[in-house]
Amino acid sequence: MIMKSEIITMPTYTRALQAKRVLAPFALPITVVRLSASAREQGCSYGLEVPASAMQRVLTILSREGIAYRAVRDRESVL
Amino acid sequence: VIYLDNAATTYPKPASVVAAVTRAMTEAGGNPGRSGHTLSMRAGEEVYACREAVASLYGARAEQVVFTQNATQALNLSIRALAREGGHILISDLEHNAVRRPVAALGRERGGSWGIFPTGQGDPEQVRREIVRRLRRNTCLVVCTQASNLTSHRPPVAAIGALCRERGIPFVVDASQSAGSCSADLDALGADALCAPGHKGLYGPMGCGFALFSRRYLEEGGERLRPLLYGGSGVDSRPERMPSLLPERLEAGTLPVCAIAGLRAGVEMVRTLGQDQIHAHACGLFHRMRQGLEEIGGVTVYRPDEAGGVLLFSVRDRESEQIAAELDARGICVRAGLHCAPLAHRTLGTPPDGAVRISFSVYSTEEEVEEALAALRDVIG
Repeated sequence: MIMKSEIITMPTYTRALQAKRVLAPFALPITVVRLSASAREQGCSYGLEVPASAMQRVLTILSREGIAYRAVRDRESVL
Repeated sequence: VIYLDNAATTYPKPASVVAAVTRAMTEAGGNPGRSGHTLSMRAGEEVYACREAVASLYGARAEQVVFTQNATQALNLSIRALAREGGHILISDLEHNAVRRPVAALGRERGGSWGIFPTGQGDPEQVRREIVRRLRRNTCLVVCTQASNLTSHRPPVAAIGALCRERGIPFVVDASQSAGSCSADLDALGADALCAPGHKGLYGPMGCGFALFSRRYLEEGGERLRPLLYGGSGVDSRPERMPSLLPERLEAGTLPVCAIAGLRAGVEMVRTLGQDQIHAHACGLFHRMRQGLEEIGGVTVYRPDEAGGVLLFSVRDRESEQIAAELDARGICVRAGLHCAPLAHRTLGTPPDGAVRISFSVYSTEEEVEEALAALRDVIG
């Protein structure tokens, strides 16, 4: 079965790595990805690829840790 | 060779540092934060891991760490980022040219002024009073070293930081000689920025330093901080302005990944050994060296009662550079002259040509101290 994933777009590359580190203890398959040109209004940017089923939990953790993110997007629209 | 010039740069470097540099060069050769491929991501992970390691020394978060080429660049960055246009800056009487020159340049360029406060014997209340006496309505920044680069004296930076917080004045700490041998918490220091090189007491390679900015600049978004360099940041490339968030806002251009990877290994070694233990080791060597020097006629040791990794002395009627050259001929590496800190030399009252500095690392031994003393007796006696 293919797991559906979504992308959390991040304001900077370092914040993407910070989020990945914070989420590491939760054993979720999360990767830092570079977004496609069509997804980048401001130019180059990075995001976190997150299983859709875990998205709410991940957003709760990021908010709790004070890690800013920009938006949640469909994988197909940004990669 | 007996290397006793560790305040300039530590040598040798730990094997783990050499291995980390090699590994970064061979296995993480991409440009961090610039691409999406494996090697770029590996390099990015190396850089982030070092941010975490450096931050852990100061009770900070990885995002507070801004990498620079060295401590001088970190100090230039911090001073220029935090000082106001036309403002007044106070620096201590022990500052290195890495502080004195950018502050003086800022005064010329932005129409500001600057002054010097005495650190005396380091009594916190006395230093506090001296600063208060010199504060002006437009004082916009205070800068102080955490440890002198000439002697092992440590000014009361936490007391200065507390004063600056009370008055709402940004405070920059120069940790060039203290990083790696002086435990500190950035918030407890009351510092807005702490600057250090990677290649001294943290045992990294030359080519990497950092400025650690207060957590408040993460919360405020960092936009108040004026970059020193402008250029590529790997994100938000379309706007003409730099990104607003740290650390990218202040890190234009490609980072020295190999040096950063080596710095991480150096920091890990320091954490394993313990900063207090590293300082205690240096103190033991300092005491023996001081005792041996004082037995030689005509030698003046500056601030002899404050032990640590740095010992400064001069010899009556002898040029410091001549002594260093004669020691070098005997295989002993020390540094003579003004050590890029003429202000601090003036404060200490050394001769016009400066003095001789001996400085230790974790690899310095009692046997090396004895050999150096034997050479000194030969050169001076």
